[in-house]
Amino acid sequence: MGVVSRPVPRVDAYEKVTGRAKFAADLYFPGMLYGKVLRSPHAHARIVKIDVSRAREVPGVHCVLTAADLPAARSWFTYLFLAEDEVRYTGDAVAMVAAEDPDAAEEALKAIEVVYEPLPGVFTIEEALEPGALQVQDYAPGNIVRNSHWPVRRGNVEEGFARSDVIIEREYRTPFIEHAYIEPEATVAVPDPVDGSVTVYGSVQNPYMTRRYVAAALGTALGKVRIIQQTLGGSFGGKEEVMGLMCGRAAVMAVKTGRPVKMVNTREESFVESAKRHPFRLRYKIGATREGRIMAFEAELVDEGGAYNSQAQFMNWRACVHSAGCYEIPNVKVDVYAVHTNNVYGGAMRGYSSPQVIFGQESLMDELAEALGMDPVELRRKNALRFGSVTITGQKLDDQPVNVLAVMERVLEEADYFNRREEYTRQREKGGPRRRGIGMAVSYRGCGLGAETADATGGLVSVQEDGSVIIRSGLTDNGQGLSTSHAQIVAEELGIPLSKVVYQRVDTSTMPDGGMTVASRGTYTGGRAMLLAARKVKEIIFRGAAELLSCRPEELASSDGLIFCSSDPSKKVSFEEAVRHCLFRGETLTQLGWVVPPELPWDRPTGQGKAFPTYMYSCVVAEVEVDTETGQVEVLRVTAGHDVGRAINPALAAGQIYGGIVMGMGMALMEEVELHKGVILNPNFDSYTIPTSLDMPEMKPLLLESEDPVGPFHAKSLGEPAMECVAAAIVNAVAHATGRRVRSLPANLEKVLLGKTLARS
Amino acid sequence: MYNIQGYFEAETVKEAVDLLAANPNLVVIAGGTDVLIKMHHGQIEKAELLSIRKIKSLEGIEKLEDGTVTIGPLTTFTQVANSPVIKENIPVLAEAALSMGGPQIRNVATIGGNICNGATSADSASTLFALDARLKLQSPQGERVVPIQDFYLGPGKVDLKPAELLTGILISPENYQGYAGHYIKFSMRKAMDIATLGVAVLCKLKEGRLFEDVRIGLGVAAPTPIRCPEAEAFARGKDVSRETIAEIGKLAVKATRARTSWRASKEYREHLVEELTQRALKAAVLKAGGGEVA
Repeated sequence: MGVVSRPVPRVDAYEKVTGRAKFAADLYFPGMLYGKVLRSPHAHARIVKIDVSRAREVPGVHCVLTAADLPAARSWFTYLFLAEDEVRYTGDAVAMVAAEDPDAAEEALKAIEVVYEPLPGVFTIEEALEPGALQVQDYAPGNIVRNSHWPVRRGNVEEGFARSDVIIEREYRTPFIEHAYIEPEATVAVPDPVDGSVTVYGSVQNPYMTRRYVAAALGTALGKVRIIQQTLGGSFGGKEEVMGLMCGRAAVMAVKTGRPVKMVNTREESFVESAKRHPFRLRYKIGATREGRIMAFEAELVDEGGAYNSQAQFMNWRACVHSAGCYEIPNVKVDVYAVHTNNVYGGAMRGYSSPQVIFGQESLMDELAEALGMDPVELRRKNALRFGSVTITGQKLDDQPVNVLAVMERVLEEADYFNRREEYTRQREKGGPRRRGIGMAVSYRGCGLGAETADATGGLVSVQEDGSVIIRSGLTDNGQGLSTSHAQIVAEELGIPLSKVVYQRVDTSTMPDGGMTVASRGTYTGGRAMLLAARKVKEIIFRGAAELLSCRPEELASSDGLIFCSSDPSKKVSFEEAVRHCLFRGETLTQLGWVVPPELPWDRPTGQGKAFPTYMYSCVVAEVEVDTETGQVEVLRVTAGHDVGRAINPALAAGQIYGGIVMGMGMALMEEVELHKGVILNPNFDSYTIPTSLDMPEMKPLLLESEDPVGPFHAKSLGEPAMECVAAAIVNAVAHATGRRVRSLPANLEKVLLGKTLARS
Repeated sequence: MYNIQGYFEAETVKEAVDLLAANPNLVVIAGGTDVLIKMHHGQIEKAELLSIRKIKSLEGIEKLEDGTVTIGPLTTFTQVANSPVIKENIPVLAEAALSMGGPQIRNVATIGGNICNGATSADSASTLFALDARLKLQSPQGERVVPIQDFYLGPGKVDLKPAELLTGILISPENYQGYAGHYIKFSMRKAMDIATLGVAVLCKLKEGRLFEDVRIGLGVAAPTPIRCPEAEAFARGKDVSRETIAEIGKLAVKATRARTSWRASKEYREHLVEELTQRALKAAVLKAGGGEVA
């Protein structure tokens, strides 16, 4: 019986449901101190004076540090461990303390005197782009985030528009959105008094990235910093910069005091300091023939990077690749760039631009269909990518299945889309306060990192003498289930029960840096490295088994812990016996699998090249009921189908889809970080609302399988695709129900009812 | 974060009010779902707390011989929602109790705390306003009983005199017998949310076609929960019809003093008052045995 493609229980289920899993905040060490940070109340100000002398007198306080006290770098990339002369957003830290207990640390923070000279700031994309606007960062002229501009030039849009019968222009907006992981950031830095090294335990998504921050803050070698990932209570792209800074600060105080230092953010601190989903202003012009053939697509997509940014440089590349959706369009002109403001910074968040971009572009498709007097599905059918199509970046899709239409038609059928669309349209014409609507969106997404950066990573498989197997990856389990899918891949390849595989969490001292756990590459890329390592081990074990069975290794197969001769299954040996035989002979059964992707050519000025080796395809249909007297939107049903290649674990894959639907629903209807002059007005879940279990719609996940040529056991990406179309589908359904389109998210009560926000005039 | 300077526990009402009289800085804590949040946000600093959780006489729900329903202030929302007395006699109050927070919060939050916290959004308040509930208050000087409308003074401000403790919530039979009620909590999501608007409507019908009495309690339509006297006066004796109900909805807005806040603008709230008052009344009419008003 195979292990892959089965909904086996998560390998970490027991520790989690029994409450035994240790999150970073659960760790205690003898002599441990508690660290706290003083943050700026101003979005932009000059620091005139900081006086910490009274704070140092507070009983129980061991250290109070300002930028002047830092042993090495004051920043990593541009993010500040502690601000020295200027604060650029309200999350900027100006001082930090470590004390015997959290109360003493709080007390010390209150005793720090900071004199600020408040300065004017820029708080919107428009303000940032105004000629002569205040410069948020000296190195970013015009407030354009360095390296964030990614163009696509294909064909000639002027000609395309000239040959179009219908041309529409639209603008859409999305707000700052919080990751809302259930576990706020936490870390403990433990100094080694002997060799000066530091071990940092933390709720980190990317341990190797965190290590760079810590080493920079300490001014020490990477090798002297060891990052161990603790069980993570969600991240979704969020525990990157904020964790680097937190771990760096804790490590500095730990070395300074010679004591372990723990830092745990409150929810408010987490909201204020941590990265958010970038807001986008999405401007489009699209033209099509009367028959619905899209001739030209022009877009200017501007995202708000906030005070600091190290993501738009990469994220906007993904945005440019996917800007026009999963359609074949001959003439394209796209410009994506980001701006700095004095708001909280934008970071990675599930989708890495795609949920915003798809919301705009799939709303635009519905609006174009309306302008053409055409069914929105028909318009998509006419223009969808097919086998052999050329994408807007000039990539010919003739080396892989192209499943836009297959996925779309299947999901529409499962959702009973056409009957319901007709029925709700009829009901709408009859009137009444409650109106139902059904809407859809389709997308495609490049798997892994693609041409963004080398999608290389490693997997380590180490078979022990009792036949148990330790696996290690440089990629992390963030709650998405990577430990389970990797264990399944290794168990399947070796032909052993899953219970024999032991996953060990990431420790930067035990594995080479395999890049970040992002871009839905945990299974797609990380799984390949695991498979490769398992294959290398298996080859050695089969050689040993062949000797024992007096046959050739190629004749062997394995399953359920037995290695046997395919032609004569009675000739068999147990996996353990073969392992012992190999080890006795002095073989090593510890192997590193390292995958290096082929280089993908990319021409930056034109945005032409092979963006990704393969793509996955999604379609989401949403049904809503809108109360036209109150503006309340209820999401009734969501059908979501994804071309996953092959699901390593169908239960975990379905879990990703459920989670993606609810997260997308929050984005569509209620989530928005509200800011006033850079101050976050809703920094906790009483005022920043996310959907609860009672708000969840009926959900139908569909795992549509195909033969992917690249991923392990044909698996493709799913984590981010699971949420990227959802908001677009819901907003399209609301438009169908009401006949009115919301072009600025969230489509909350007032916007749906009145078409505008009145709350803060 | 929780800077608790002192903590006292009282086992009787007398002990509690004596302690309060001796130390005016004491903050009464019951379920703690409001007090602890205020401490977390720094609205209460260096608190000295007086827990009343051990005062058994403040718990429970009873129907007295004269039909008066008494609710002990320490009764949790879960207990209110599950109480046979409430479900049988004043089901609208059970509805309101169930709309509050989530199960974990309802298991500890008390109805007395909900009232004494003085929030206009209190999920129990609009219904208790419509029920003309009276509050029994005890101090070392003695006891007094005040109508709930007089108890709410302003946002977060209630008429608790020094050393006074809420000891009972009274609902007289003439205020619930023969009435049917409906509560609508309007919020962004279905659980764990503070009301954007709370609408409690009670109605009593004559021969199933005339309004004998209508009462409208609103939360978050003014700095305190309110009633809608003009709309209620208009309703009395009118026939149950779409037109009457529409007019009641319009008049209800007159009682409001809505503000623009982060949850909604004034205009939007007023729109909701008009709309939801009608909806709640239509639902109450159905429960009172009247017909469906389209």
